[in-house]
Amino acid sequence: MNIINKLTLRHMKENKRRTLVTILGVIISVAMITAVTTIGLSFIDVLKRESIASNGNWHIQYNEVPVSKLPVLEDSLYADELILEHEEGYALLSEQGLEGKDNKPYIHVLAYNEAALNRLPLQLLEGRLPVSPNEIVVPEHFLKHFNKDSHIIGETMTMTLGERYNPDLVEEDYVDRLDQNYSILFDDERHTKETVIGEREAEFTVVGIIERLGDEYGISPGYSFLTGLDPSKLPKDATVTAKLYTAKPDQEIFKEGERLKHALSIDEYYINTTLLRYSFVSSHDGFVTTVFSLLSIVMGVIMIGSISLIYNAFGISVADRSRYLGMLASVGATKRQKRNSVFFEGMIISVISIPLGILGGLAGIAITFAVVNPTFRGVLGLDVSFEVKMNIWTLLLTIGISLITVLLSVWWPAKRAAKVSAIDAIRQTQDVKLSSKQVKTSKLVRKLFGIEAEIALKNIKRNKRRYQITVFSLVISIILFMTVSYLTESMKQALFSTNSGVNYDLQVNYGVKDDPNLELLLEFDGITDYSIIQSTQSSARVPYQYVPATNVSAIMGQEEDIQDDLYYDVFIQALDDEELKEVAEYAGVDASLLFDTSHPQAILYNEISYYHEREKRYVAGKVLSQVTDIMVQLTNWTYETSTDESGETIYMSHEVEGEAIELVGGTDFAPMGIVRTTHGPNGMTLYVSQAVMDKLNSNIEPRVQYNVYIKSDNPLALEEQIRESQHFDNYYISNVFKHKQEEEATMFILSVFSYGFIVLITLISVANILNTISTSIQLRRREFAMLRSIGMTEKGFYRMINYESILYGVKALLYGLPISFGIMVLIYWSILKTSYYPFQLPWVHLGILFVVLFMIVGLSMMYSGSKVKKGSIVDAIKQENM
Amino acid sequence: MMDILKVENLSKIYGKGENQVHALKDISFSVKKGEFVAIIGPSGSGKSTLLHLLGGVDTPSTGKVLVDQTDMYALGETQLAVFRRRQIGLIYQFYNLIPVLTVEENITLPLLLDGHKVNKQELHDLVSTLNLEQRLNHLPNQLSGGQQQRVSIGRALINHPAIILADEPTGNLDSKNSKDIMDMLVMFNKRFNQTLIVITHDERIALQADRIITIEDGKLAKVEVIRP
Repeated sequence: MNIINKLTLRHMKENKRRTLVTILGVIISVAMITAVTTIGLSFIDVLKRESIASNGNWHIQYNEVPVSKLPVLEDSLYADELILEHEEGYALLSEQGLEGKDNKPYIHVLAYNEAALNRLPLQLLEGRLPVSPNEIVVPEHFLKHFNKDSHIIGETMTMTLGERYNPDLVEEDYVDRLDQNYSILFDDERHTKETVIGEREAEFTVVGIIERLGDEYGISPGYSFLTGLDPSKLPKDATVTAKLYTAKPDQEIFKEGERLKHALSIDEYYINTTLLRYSFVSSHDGFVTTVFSLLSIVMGVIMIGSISLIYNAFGISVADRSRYLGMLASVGATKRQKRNSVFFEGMIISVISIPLGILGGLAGIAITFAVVNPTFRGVLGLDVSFEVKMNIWTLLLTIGISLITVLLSVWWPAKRAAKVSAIDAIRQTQDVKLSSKQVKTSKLVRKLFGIEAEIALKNIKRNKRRYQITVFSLVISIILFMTVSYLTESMKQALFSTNSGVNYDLQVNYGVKDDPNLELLLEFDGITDYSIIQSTQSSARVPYQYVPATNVSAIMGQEEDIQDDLYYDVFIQALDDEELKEVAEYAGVDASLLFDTSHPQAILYNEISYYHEREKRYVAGKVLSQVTDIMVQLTNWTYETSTDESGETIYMSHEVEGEAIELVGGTDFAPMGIVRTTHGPNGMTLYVSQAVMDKLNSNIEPRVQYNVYIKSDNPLALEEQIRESQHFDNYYISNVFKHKQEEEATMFILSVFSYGFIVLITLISVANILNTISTSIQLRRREFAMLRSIGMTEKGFYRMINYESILYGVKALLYGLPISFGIMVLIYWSILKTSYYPFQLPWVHLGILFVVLFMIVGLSMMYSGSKVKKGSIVDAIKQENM
Repeated sequence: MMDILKVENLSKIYGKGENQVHALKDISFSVKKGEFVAIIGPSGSGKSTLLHLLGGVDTPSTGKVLVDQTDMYALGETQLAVFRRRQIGLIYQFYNLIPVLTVEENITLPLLLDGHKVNKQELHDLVSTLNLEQRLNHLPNQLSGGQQQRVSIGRALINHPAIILADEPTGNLDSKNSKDIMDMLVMFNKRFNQTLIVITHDERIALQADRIITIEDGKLAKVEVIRP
């Protein structure tokens, strides 16, 4: 090894603390770069696997495809696999000697081909999946309900399969076929009125047990069994549901979907846009652009922070080594040799730090995933977990970015090292070329804060470069912290604006106003809170000037100025008296106004969230821009039937003017059951009293919905209890608990990643600041010793240190905050492509920043200062005199 | 005349065990107010160590240093710092000025640390004597060596301390500047009765003193009276 490199290594060993802090800083930087490249891949991957697990692995779906036209699909370039499903039909449970409930008397048999068994959501619990049309698997809950067990495997089941039809809609050319989406049809006396047509005998051997299929809903009348599908054995006129799977989806898939639709002469088809999005094939450009924009911003900010840290560390190293470098110059070292000594130091640091950083980053991500996965798995009830995904390209990308970061950081210090001459080093004048103007301070400083503050300020002004480096490091830290905090809050907002803000677990819809079963329902164990809401729907025209511009363009679907009244669906919610008073108080409205039936008044629920078709993004905002002194003239539609000359029934509808209702206030308060995303841009929800509701319905035939919204500590168990109870057979029950869990889990996961980043960023900053400040103080040991020797007390010394740290902090904030705000605006604009929500500064994080910033700077200075203070005055003075 | 400085059995030991170094061994002497004492001795004899102990910037292993009848090392840390500020003036070979302070600020620094107002007339007189009137707003890096040392002298004198301690004050200067500096110091000593203790290896400087104390091997070897 040449002498220059030997000297470099020796210097690094002598300054162990600084070398280790630099290595640690680079490791953290590389770890963060690794984390960004890995997280992006892993996150997309888990979303993709989750979509596959819940919805299947396919890309285009066609319903009711005639078997004869399957070759059209097989020939498609996007049909690497053709997934086929066939409705085999329904068979009565009674045939098996089993007594089902009135509303669930059937076995429903579905047939899957091999591709379907592989690519659709399916969980085999015991045995095996069916490979032929005479094998069948049964769902686990069927066994539970009828006290059977796995001994059923191997048994034979004979069934008479047919299709369910609505007899009221069976005509010559048309039959209304019923599937698992339709509950049993009853007549007024609760007798089954649906018919089963086309019965055929089938015999199956049970080969396995599966989890309940996704097509079997709460209202579904049949237990879904699964058999094998051989399309060649289907009748010629049979139809199947066909899904195409392609190994390499691309943007052309949308055109292909359209082409096949015409080739098959089918009206509708479905593209699995969710799955395509995670393969970066999206019709909603916003999502892909948003992901890449945000990742790029994060990576950019990390790189700047890392460069600042490494540049700082090497800058200090060069300054510290200027005497050595000068001596080298005096004995004949060339500029290149001096420059290369810095590059050599950079290489050593890289060789140690990059591999450790990559391993650290992967380990950190793996640990983060391990923390997050239980929540993730538990919420979704699936076996999908985050996995660390790294391929050779992301590894190379990480190494490349890390090396570039180190190279950029040492470039300028290396150039500086090359310029150090012998005389500059000996005189140490490079760093102290000052003029009075440079260190001029206001007399006020001394008057107000004393000579210690003045010296602190002058120290800040001297050696502009070192001061700038420290302030720059602090500024970067501020920017990183504020922008990542804002990014996290923004993504939560964006998520919230695309989600429905559901505030209950179960919804039970009952038939009549004073349902006697209501009391029974509310006595179930596990209900923690409930809300009874009666709702009805009307329409109204609202003058455009009361409607926010975004909503106007969403409703009218055009860009030009709108001058007309806008058509609104009005959803009137009658709350019970106590709840209504609570809403009135929240809205600042006199509750008594709402009970006056002679002059009906309402409070507007003034929050809305919808997908803006023209602008291709989600919007969250207000329904109306004015919420008082507006008369809403309600209109209702009535229908009449008459018979024409040929005896055909004619349905006629016409508008009937209803009551006018005055808006007296607006609120964002949503009692349980009110959800802001339900109604689209031209929907409005009004809160009224029961008395006013009765008044509004007095002259029309109301179509009133009666709902109970329930919160429970175990919604899944409660739902099962309600369904199993005979009293609630006809009641519609919706369980939104799961959906809410997903929202909460997503936000939790988002927070873990984001705040994990913030911690790492803070560590980089702390390393940087500690390095800079401690070295800066070390290099001024002699001055500090001199001040002490002429009588500066310990108190005075620490006062000087504190002033300096305050000055660093204040200066850093003066630069850091405006730049942070600028980046926040950029982030806001990025997310606007996908979601709309109002701009808000993260005030809490700002407060934390202030506290942490001054703590870090202050503690760094106190720590370094105390080391200097403890040292001998004599030794410090002697040191530079030698 | 009273003793402005009294040193009693002063010793300084560095290190421990086998590595112990007895830099000073049981030194005792006194200095009268207004006296000019030169301390000489070979390199490593302990002269600088003695000066630092006299200046209160190091701590003795044993012994006492009484300045103006105050036992310096019986004072607390803060009290000692304040004492140094007001009663001791230190001049070093390498000036040790504060690089960010102007000439005026460097000179008045001990006053500023005390929070006292600067007497403009006194400052003007001192600065004139030091020939620094044109340099008051300059920074140390804008001055020559001689000028910097004169600033250092001004700083040492501004508070009218009990004693001035100078460690090789001309060691870093050419002969002309050396003569100028010593002339100034001697002038202050004579005109203002300023007690002056100078460490030097220069015989010519030593011979300007009233008394020469020779330190050898950490011990007081000889005391010569030059001017009774």
